[in-house]
Amino acid sequence: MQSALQSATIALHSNEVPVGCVFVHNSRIIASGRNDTNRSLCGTRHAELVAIDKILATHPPSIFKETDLYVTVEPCIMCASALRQVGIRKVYFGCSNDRFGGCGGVLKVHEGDKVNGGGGYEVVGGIYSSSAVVKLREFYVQENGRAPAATSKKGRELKTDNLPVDVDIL
Amino acid sequence: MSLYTRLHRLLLQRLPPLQFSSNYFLRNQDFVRHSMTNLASPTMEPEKFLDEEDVPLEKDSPLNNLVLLRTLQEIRAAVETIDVFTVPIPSRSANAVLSSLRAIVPTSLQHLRRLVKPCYIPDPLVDSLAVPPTPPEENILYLLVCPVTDISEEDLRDFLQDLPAFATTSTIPRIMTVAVPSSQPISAAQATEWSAKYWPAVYKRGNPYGPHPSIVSQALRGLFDPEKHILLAKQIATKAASSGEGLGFGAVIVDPQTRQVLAVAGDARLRCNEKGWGNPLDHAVMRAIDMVAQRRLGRTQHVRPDSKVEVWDGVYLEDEEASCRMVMRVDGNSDIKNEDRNGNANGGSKKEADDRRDDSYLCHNFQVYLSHEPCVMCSMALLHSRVGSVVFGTRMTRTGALNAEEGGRQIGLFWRTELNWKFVCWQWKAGPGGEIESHENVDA
Repeated sequence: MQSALQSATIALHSNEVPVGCVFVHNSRIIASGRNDTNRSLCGTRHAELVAIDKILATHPPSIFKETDLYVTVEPCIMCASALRQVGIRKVYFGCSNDRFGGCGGVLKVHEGDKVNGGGGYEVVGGIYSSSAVVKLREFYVQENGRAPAATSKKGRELKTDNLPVDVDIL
Repeated sequence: MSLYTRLHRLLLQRLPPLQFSSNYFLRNQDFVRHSMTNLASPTMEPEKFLDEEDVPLEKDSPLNNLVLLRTLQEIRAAVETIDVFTVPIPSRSANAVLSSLRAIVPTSLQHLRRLVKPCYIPDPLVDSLAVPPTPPEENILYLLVCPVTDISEEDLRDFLQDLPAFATTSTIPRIMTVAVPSSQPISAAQATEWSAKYWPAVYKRGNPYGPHPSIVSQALRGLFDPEKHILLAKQIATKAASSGEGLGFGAVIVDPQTRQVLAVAGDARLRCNEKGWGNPLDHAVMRAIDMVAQRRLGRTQHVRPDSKVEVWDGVYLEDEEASCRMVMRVDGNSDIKNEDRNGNANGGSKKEADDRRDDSYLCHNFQVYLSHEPCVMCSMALLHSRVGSVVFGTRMTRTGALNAEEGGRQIGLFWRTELNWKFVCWQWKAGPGGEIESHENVDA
């Protein structure tokens, strides 16, 4: 988890939302990843997916069933589903993510599915969670000209312009 | 004009359910006065709201194939009823009773008529409420008091009995219980249905449980060439399956502002790298989102450092000639790029790397066409990318994450209050291309 936090720190210095992770196989780190969405202009380049890409460059997908993930923030719904689809063994995370979390925060994507007979994975949260939160706060106090929120809010304002006045949209 | 006459006129004016009526019906004196000004002017404000979504689509419009997905909340809201008290009261004391009641029970259920004339009581309730068959000497109104959880029946009876309306004639208030929808209707049609079944309901022209009707209407009419693009998504799905590089799923991303197809991707999870294995996460949607980003990044950087990303199915940005050929080929086969050719004066394909607009962000408000309902990962990827509209062909009941209807996983990811982005989503029923069957347990 210390290594994952280091990756998060690098992300922070690269003007990315500071989330970092490492994948551990047989007590050895086989890949680390950090959030890369701002550089890549791609909203799916989360730390977990970046690291999975790296692993698949040298290891077959079957390695995941003996691999554990350590990530500073609870995987989002997208990543939680991705981890399930590659067949991760276990996920350890720092702080939980009540905005996007897919391992309990919003949805429980990691849970086994009775209909399909299993397929889930075990999660353990709360490891160094305060360090992870502080990293996130460090990021969000920064001034960021490219802040996504600004753009999307602009979009939302535009939409309300065309509405009758007496309704609340969201 | 006496208060009674006013009430009477209001009732006549406002029942049965008016699509545009405010829901403050008879809540206070102010409102009555307010309404009078509205009544005086025949061109009251609501008239101008008779807007686009009330104009039906043309019969042969391809948009008729689109079935709007209901949100999770809409589905939940549509089935919940709660028990409420109702009591017949003399019409002329309606306002007095209402003002007195406000002191003891909170005002709620604003989506239902507070006072209802006997003739508007829904048929299923007529017997149980003992609605008089013909107008009696003294007119009565059925007052919807409050949910049964707000006050006990005894307390309510005691309270009502002391009011002049009942005390002067020493009649005992006939308190009854009816089940009514607990949340407000989300369409005029639903309000009409409820009015006939449960209790006269008011449609507020709003939707707290999903996209506002005008947002849906705008998004629907904003769809750019939906028929062509859903067909292209299905074609690319078929191609992916027949190539052996992926499963039969396809995705197309369109920028409605520039009217450009920005990405066309088939599933590629079976495509082997030089080591001999594929990436199980190379779903059509993920690849299409990568492609959009790769176009923006240009040739100097890669979206995914460890693997080259195409900008069109099978075409890399570096390979400019091939990229032109590919666009031409699609031109010939399905006419897909015609708009591009007309709109962008032949420049569309050559300047692919340069079509980024500085104000664009991820896939903000882009339109996405998918052969199949996407899995949890891909649905969330679309949400993270801030897409505006999604149209998919085949529903995936076992793995799909967009649908909230029964018979699936009921995730309804496109519109969830917990998440920071929402988009409008339709299923495209039937042609062109028909629905593509698929292994139901696979994540699309």
